[in-house]
Amino acid sequence: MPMFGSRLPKRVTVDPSCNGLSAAFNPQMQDAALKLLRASLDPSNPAGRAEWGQIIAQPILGGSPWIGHPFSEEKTHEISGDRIARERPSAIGNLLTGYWPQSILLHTHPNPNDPGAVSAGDRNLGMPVIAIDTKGRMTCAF
Amino acid sequence: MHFRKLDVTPREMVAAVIVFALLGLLIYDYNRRYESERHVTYYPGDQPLIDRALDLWSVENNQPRDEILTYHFPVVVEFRNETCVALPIKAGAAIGGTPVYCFDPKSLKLTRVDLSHAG
Repeated sequence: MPMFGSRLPKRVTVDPSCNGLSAAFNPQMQDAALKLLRASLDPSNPAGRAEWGQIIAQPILGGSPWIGHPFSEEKTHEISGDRIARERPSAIGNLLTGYWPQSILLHTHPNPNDPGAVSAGDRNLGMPVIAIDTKGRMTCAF
Repeated sequence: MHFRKLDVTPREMVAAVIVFALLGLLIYDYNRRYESERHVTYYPGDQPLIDRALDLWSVENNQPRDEILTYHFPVVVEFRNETCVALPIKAGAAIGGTPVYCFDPKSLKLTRVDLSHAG
């Protein structure tokens, strides 16, 4: 388990692709991303690592973002659109609770390839996507 | 509120039914053609290589093999001495990327793996 424990990144580096997506610069969201990465690289995952995701909603009038619970399908490279749709609050629900209607998907890239930037599948999901790789680098598509 | 009764002769009624039936048939035929074209992304002769790529990706992604084509579609590219199978994700079906497996076309032996865009 070379990546687990002390070798996990302690902080996030935000790629210029995230400029304009304020959630990527939010300290609470960055903390959540590091925790998600830890879960993703935990050796207790069936294949030793797995892609994990979490839904984020940004507040309209400032304050903290809403951060959903972590989820995974235990696959090492992907999460299905169906599963993401089930985890995602409705646009109206977001609005009624004071968040922007469009949710954001935060997810991990636990594969050892560097850099683990957002992929073609990520860019075509139909919602803003943030990916964090094993070095703590965050890339975005929105 | 008063609705004016339509003044339609039986002949006009039959003509309208025929026109709508033809329109329906055209839409059905267009969809059927479109569907069949969309699903043919490789030649049947490439099936053994695609099967090998699906086996490898199933292990790599910890995913049941028969589930893979729900989210991916195979693309086969031939080079001088090797044939590569890419498995891109169908737009919107999942987050992830495109694994690429290359084989010697004669022996079906794996020559290269590129997971750098696999998500």
